[in-house]
Amino acid sequence: MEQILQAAAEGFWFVFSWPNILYPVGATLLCMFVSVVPGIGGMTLMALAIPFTLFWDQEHVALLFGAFMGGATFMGSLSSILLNIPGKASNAATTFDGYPMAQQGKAKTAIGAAASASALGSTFGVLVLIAMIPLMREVIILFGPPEFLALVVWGLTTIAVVTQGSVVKGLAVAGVGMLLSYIGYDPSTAELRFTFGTLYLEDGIPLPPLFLGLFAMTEMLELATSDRATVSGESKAEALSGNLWEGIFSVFRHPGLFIRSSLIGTIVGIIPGVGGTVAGFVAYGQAAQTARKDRDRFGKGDVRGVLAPEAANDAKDAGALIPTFAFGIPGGTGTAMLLTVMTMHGIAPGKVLLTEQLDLVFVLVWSLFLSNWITSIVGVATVGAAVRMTVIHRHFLVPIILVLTTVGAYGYQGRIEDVLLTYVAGVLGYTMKKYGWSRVPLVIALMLGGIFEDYLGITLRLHELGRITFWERPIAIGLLVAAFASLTLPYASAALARRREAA
Amino acid sequence: MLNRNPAWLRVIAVVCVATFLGAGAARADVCQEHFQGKTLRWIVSGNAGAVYDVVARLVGPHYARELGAKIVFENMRGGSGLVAMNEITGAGSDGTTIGVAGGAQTLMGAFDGRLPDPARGLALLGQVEGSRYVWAVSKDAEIRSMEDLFRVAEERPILFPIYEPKGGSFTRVVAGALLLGIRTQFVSGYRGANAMAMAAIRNEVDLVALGVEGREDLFANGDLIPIMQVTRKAMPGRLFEDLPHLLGPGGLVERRTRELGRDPAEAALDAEGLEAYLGIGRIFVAPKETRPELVACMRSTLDRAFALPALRADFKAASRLLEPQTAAEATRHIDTARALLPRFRPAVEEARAALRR
Repeated sequence: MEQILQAAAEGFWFVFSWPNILYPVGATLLCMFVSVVPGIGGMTLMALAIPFTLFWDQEHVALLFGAFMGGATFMGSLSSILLNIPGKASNAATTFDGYPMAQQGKAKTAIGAAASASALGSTFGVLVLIAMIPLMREVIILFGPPEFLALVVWGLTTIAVVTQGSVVKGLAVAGVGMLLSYIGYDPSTAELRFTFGTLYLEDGIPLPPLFLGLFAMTEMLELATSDRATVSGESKAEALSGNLWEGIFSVFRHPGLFIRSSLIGTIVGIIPGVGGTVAGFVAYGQAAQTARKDRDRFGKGDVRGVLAPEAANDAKDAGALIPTFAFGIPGGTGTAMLLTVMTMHGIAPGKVLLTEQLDLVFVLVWSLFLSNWITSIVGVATVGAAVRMTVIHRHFLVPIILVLTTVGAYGYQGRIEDVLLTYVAGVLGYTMKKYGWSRVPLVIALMLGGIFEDYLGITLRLHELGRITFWERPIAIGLLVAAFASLTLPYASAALARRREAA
Repeated sequence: MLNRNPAWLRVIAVVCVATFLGAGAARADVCQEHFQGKTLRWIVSGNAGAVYDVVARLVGPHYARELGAKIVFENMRGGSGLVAMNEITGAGSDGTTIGVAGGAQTLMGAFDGRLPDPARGLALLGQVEGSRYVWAVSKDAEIRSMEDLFRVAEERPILFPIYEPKGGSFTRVVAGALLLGIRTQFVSGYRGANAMAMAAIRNEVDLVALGVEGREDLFANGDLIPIMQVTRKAMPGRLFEDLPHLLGPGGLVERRTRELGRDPAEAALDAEGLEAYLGIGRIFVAPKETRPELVACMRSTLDRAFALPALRADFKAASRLLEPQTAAEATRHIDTARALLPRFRPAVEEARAALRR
């Protein structure tokens, strides 16, 4: 442990010394700047930087790419809160309460909460990473397909929480979402399903354009046809009731929730193959399910609904580095790119990296950490300007966002079909909203349906072949019990309370 | 030598050399004249930062510089590379749209018989490297060598993880197993090669077939132990020197053909098909409609770019293997693979049917 702490200190001083600090600061600001342009983000910057950094030394490469990994995270949170547009799939859960808060004029509170939860969540993730270095490899091997499956099931239970109004409607929408997530190749048999003979649908429905439609376009259509003149209903920023500091300190008012959410994010991040998408949903679900009071405020603009997914989302970044460092197995697209770069520069993941090159590991980790803090600080610093977006008159806002949405959809992979999908999803989302069908179960099912199918198939097959015995996997069973408990305990405790009151 | 030959032979030699040089110069002129100052659209199959993207970004700037052109990269995902290939196929004939893709992937559409064969709509410009695969096991696995594998395979089928029962990686495993005469089982749905590697590390499958590129560390760390290289001869590097290879003289196919009493001629054809298929690496392509004189000069420009010390230095700095092949060599691999791959179709269909059951 002493060696780890020493390497952590050396890495820290390297990152925060002059002029090295310029690399993560510059990379983060660049990342934040280009994230505004639809279709460009941290990943694109990483790809562009690869040829330019071929002859750099390992430490400076780690400085740069660590910052790229963290740089675009918070921008996704901002658009989720202000415009109901999740910048990345992992920001989707933030929209559930973030956007309703913006509609109530509390965008500042939501942004403050997101910023502090992100920065502190990232710090939590780094601390867990430091503590886990000696155990990394053993812990990762404990998680296999049954555990992934159980985690995804936990994520899916969020549907029960976020379904507002009719439960039947919510479940029906979730069912449709699951069906849509099965479009494309059957992972077990390679049979094509529901593609109608088009190459476009072979890999399934592309989610970013779909979400642009379901969220951004739907909201703009709704705004255009409503009697509200602006997103917040106010015409001047001064009239907004939100308080930035109230949001920032919300983390300290809900310390248990923050720690639980950050822990969920770190654990989910560690598991390669599940990805950050699950982290936000599971964290949001547990926040709503374990809330002792005002549970029905979730989905209507509760700051806890912003805090939980944001903490998990940033805590997962450090967690995702664990399998990358330990085995050279990336947990997501960001870490996959990082691994490519590491390999190019002769940085070999595995035991040697975790013992003899630990200082290099910490250069990367601290750079990521710094980047997460910078994005949060810049987010807070620009909150005054950002929230003005919620007081822009719809005559200006709607066309601008519709154009940006169209450009973003086309920029995703340069295909006109994506634009069409965005428009269809926009009309669908608007119709659903108008007739009281929640879009959230659809989104959760779409995101998790494919992963659920994959790991259900693998788990069943391995169990059938006698390669694993599901009932002898304590972590998987523990996770399923936790999912079941978080689903039923609120109802059980409510029933108990009613009985007590009646008595 | 030349002085001792008759004068007429000397004249012919001089004319030949002059013609060759003239043709080269004319070709260079065609390229310079046509591409100077233009912007090339370079379609990359797959995500930014993935293998094809890295290769494109390493080669592209040198190629463009040789032509005096600018270059813009465009990543296109979907359809196992077919979306990108179709985009190139449908582009204009002026040579400004080119691309990089997995040659093996583009053939799979035709092999599956369900998709068009985009390789037929493309003009090959060259190839940057072949495919290098190994079969590897966990350090805790029951199987530790090919001898163990043959012994265990007599008792039960060998379990492989796969992404999905189609495409190049699945075909390679089925073909390899067929050539070695081992029974197989598959567990499908792993999200990519890294997830399959983890499945092997966790020892939930018997072995995994993996591309070597970018995964040398997994083997060097001892997390995965390679037991066979799916190549014609041993790959360079300490890890592979003494490792048995599947194809070619002294390969395991030769030995197993004898042991199992297979028809050597049939086995040789199968082996040739797999070898040709593996030989198709990352290919550079242009639309088939591209004017022949442009294709010729694009090919020679690419060959010239491959020989540039700066490009070689970039590949070395990026720790990537550079084994360029000419368009003619790449075409030969593709044609051979196209002709012989259907031999594996019954085995592939059978393995797929078993998964459906």
